Parts: sequence; C-alpha cells; structure tokens
Amino acid sequence: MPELIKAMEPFRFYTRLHLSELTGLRASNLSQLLSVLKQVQGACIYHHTHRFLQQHQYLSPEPPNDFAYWVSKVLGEDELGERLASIDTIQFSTVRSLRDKIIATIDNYLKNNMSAKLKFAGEGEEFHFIKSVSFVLPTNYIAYDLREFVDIVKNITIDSIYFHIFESRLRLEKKTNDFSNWIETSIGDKKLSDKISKLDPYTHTLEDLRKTIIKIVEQKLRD
Amino acid sequence: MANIEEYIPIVGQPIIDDLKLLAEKLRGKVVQHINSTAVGGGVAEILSRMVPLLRELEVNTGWDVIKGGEQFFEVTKKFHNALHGKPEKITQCDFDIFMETSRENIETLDIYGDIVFVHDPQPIALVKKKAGNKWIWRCHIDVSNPN
Repeated sequence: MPELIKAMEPFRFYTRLHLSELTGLRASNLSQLLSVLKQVQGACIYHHTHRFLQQHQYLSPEPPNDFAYWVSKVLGEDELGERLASIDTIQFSTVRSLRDKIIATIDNYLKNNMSAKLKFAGEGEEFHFIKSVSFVLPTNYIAYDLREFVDIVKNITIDSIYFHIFESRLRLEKKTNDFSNWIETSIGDKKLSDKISKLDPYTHTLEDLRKTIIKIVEQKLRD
Repeated sequence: MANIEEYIPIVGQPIIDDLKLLAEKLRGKVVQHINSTAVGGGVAEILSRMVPLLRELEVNTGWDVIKGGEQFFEVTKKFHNALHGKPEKITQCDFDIFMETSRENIETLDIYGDIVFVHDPQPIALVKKKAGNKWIWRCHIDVSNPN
C-alpha cells in the first residue's frame, strides 16, 4: 500500500445550522413573483432552491425548488413549472446567476403567455418569501490525510456535509466544493478532486452523497 | 432519565459534539423557560427532559411555572382551541380573568434570564416585563388554520 500523502494544510470540518426567517414579502401571481424575485436578498433565492435538500432525507424530490412547485400546483402553470424545475442548479456558481436564470425563465414565459398574468393564487396560497440565515461553526474534526478525511466523513453530521458541498460552493462563491478544493490544493490529487466536483449533488440525498464520497475516496486509498 | 452521553449510540457522536459547540456559545448566558404546568402536557414533558440535558451541556438553564386557577386555565384553553382552529366565543369577562391572573404573575414571577423562552399562550402577558434581554415565544400549537 502506498504511503499516505500528508496534507499541506489540514482540513477542518465546519457545521452549519440555519434559521428560516419570514420576510413578509409575498406574491399572488406571476407578475408579483417576478417583481419580488428581482428585489429580494440572495438569501431568499438560496432558501427556496435549497431548503428541500436538508428537509428531504430519503428521496430526491421533484420539483426541486419552491418556485416550480408553487407555479405548477397553485397557479396551474405546468409548463413554466417544468421549466423552473429543470433549471440545473449545479451549473450556477453564484446565487446571483441562479436568480437571473429564474427571472429570465419567468420573464420569457410571460412574454409568450400573456394570459398567465391573469392567474391569481387563492387566499392563503400566496407565495411567501422566506430567507435562510446560516450559522457556521468550526468543529473539532480535522483531517491531515485522506484516511483521516474519509473516517471523519463517515461520522460527521449531514449538516457538515451540506455546508462543505452546497453552501460553501454557491453561497460563499468558492466555485467548487470544499472537499474537492482541499484534495486538489492540499493533497495534490487533481484526479480525485475532479471526481468529487463532477458529482451532481442535487440528485442525491445527503446520506447518499456521503456514501458516494466515501466510496470514491476509499477506492483511491485502495489503488 | 438518560444522560446526554447515552444518546450517542442513537444519534452519533458528531451530533452531540455539535450540541456542545452550540452550548459553548451560550457560556455566561442564563436561559429561562416559562410555561404553565410542571407536569402533564407536551411542554412539561419536553422541558423535564430538555432542561437537565441543557444543564449537562453546561448551559445555565432555569425553568419557571406561572400560577393560575381553574378559571384562568379554562380561558387559556379557549385561546388554545381558537388558535388551533376551533370556533370559540371569548368574552370580555374571559379577557378580564386572563389579565387578572397575568397581572399577579407579572408581579410575582422573577425574570432572570438573558434569554427567556415563553412556551404557549398561557404566560404570554409576561412580555410586559421585557427589558434588555431576548424573548422568544415558543408556540407548540399548530396555528396554520386559526379561527
């Protein structure tokens, strides 16, 4: 078995807790939804496109964002709902660019479907904008090589995995997930780093994601 | 009653470690829980287990219970039912009973917490004692379809 490479910098695992905060902003139709989408904080866009990841632990839900769900189920605009649901979040490296895509999708749809503006949500079925407030804390779990890393990944909370894979990449605009970044820059294994960064984490549950990462790293350790 | 270490085989060490990290953030703060019963009911069940666990995590936690007679609790039951969606007639007399008992609690109950958790509607008038500390109303009722 080859000797394990010691990391140039150890990997410290962080954990993340969140609070969902009502903004008081709401929309009853598509025009209002579009208008509010343009002005709300990025934390709202983030909440409505990511909350399902931490809530649904056993299935990867469809549609994967609240906008798609509301447009389809409440307004009955199935085509737009499908277009919003098919936005591939992993393709966006900032919340800003994800917001722009959602806005453009609704905008384009309204230009070609003027009557969609006339549909209103029933009382109590309005879209309420909620924002996500994150609390990020360093844990005492630190890895100095890939063996320690994978042992910690096996046991760390899913909040920690969520933070390093989703929040760090998109919300902190690091472009890639923390695990890939560390493996490339501190372990010097670009191939392994790419294997993890090429995963589409949005198609996995968090436990599934944990298992997949463990499998990839353990395979590397065996090679 | 189980101590916090006994939860490790169920939830895993990292969850307990996360709780310890959070508890560290509350060092030097006093957390005070206030509800309406010491035994019986969901809130008392939660607090009777949660308060010892918080103390084990070295969070300085207190638990106080308001006083109230039969009439007071009949009125607060109406509040509870109405918040839960049941049609209820709440009269001025009911409000008077509620406020009279609340006034007594406001006068007698010591608020010492830096963070005060008020559970459910019964102790809600205590908010009149709010000063520079943090108050959180922890509603255990499903208020999604109130009357």
